[in-house]
Amino acid sequence: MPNDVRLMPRLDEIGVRRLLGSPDLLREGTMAERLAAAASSITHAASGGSRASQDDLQTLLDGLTALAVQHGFPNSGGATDRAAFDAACGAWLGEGGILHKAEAMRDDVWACVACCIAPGIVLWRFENGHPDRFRGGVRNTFQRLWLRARAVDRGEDHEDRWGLLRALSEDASVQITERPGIGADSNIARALAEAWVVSSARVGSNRMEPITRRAARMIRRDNEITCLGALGEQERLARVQGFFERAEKA
Amino acid sequence: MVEIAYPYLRPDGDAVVASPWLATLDGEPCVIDNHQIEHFDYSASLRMERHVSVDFARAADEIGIAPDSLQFLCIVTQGTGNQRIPRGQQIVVRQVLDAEHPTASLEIAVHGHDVSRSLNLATELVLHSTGSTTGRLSPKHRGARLWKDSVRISVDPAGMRFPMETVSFAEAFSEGHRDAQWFLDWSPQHLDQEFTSSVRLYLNEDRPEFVEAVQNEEDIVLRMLICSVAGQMIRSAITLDHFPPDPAISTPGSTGSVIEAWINQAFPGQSVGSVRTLAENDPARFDLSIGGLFQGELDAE
Repeated sequence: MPNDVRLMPRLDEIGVRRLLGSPDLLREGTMAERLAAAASSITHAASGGSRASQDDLQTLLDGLTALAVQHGFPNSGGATDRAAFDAACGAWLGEGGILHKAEAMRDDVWACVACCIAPGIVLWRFENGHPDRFRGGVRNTFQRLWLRARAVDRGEDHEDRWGLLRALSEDASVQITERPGIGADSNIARALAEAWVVSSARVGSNRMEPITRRAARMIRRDNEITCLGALGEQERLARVQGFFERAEKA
Repeated sequence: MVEIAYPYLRPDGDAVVASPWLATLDGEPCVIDNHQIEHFDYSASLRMERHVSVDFARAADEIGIAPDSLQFLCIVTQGTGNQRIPRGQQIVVRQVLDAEHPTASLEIAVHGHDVSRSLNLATELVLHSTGSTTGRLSPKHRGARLWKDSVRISVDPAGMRFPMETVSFAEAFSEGHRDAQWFLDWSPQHLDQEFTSSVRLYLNEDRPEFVEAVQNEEDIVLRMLICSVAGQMIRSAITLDHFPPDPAISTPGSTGSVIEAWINQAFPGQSVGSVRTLAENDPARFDLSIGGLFQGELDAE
């Protein structure tokens, strides 16, 4: 098992800046050209697995591209298509074909995916091409989808494993993954997501932004004094749903 | 660091005795030196063991619950990813303790391929059951946090120091800057992100005498460098609407929390507003306070 880990290329911030300063290379260059241009900024883990080959990286690019094409890449696709791409891509990344969990936790790995491997998809998904969508972190185009998938995964045996990825609004997903106290613990994140679905059905999704923010703050505060992760699943869900009900009335 | 005012009684620390974690790496005893494990990679296999014992009579008395009906749940939460803020965490051990079984023997197996950059282990006692005899200020809800200790172990050799690397500015910056000595890469808009992953200090390898002085940890050079870095970050942060971070939701280890800690150290007892006024009206005294911040050690704490 350990030797199955593919050591992915890691791109440092100087490399990100260099590539962002070459928009033609991002839009029209090949993956090989971008990797070559950023070579001095790319490293790999020294040991612990085998380096991802060019074929591995091409497989990753092909998988991302195929999903994007299904949703309108490169020349079409509205907001609904892009949201559907996010859900589908999150599920695909969450199933972990090439990117292993420990490597996928690294910002510099996702910076390389966005800048060197699939920048065209970044520029299709986020037309303004904001640098945060390329550099590693919770706003990276692909890393945020992997983080969402990890947070709300119902488990391999669930008949609708990735249902929460499709159900959550963009704002609700951001509330989960950009709050480390919630997003890092999948038990809490999943309870929040399940409660969001229930609350959204009750009050309407168009009213959910302020409710979600209030509920997320209550959950963060409560988790400081109550270990929500230690509760049973039903008990935790009931407690989190209680916060949404209070947030609806506030 | 946020101090939490718990709305219920918690046992005094003396009611709980926790042994240190003992580590075995790939079958060999392993020393965790200065919160670091060396030679750790994705193929490593780490075992960690410790014991936690509770003096139930004492703990029960302190929180106002009859000892024969009191149960604690002892849990270990394993976190990883980033140096200070875990990207992922899960409870890996649960043991129920009561007056007849007051000691938990905790053993965890950590697979290298599940660990990225750091391993965080938090051992906690939370309320499991109270029975019917409780005092007015006793904890009542299952899961109430009663005791905790945690350890953060870096498995990334570069991870525990101020995030820093050398690059050629002549190659890195097409617009020039080849004679500059350093460049701090950070964004005041990302104060909620982890310090070690969102802040990076680049030293210009085209200025080898400067790089050598930093690498040799020459005290004067280091102090001037880090005070310049802290000064830049504090000066920017105090002008922002979203600074200081909301203590109810801020995360220890975030860039905003690190800057706030520097301000508290350099300007003890002063509000952000008064520090801002000082920076505007008396910049020399502002810099003087920042100049006393560090003892030459480059550490992000």
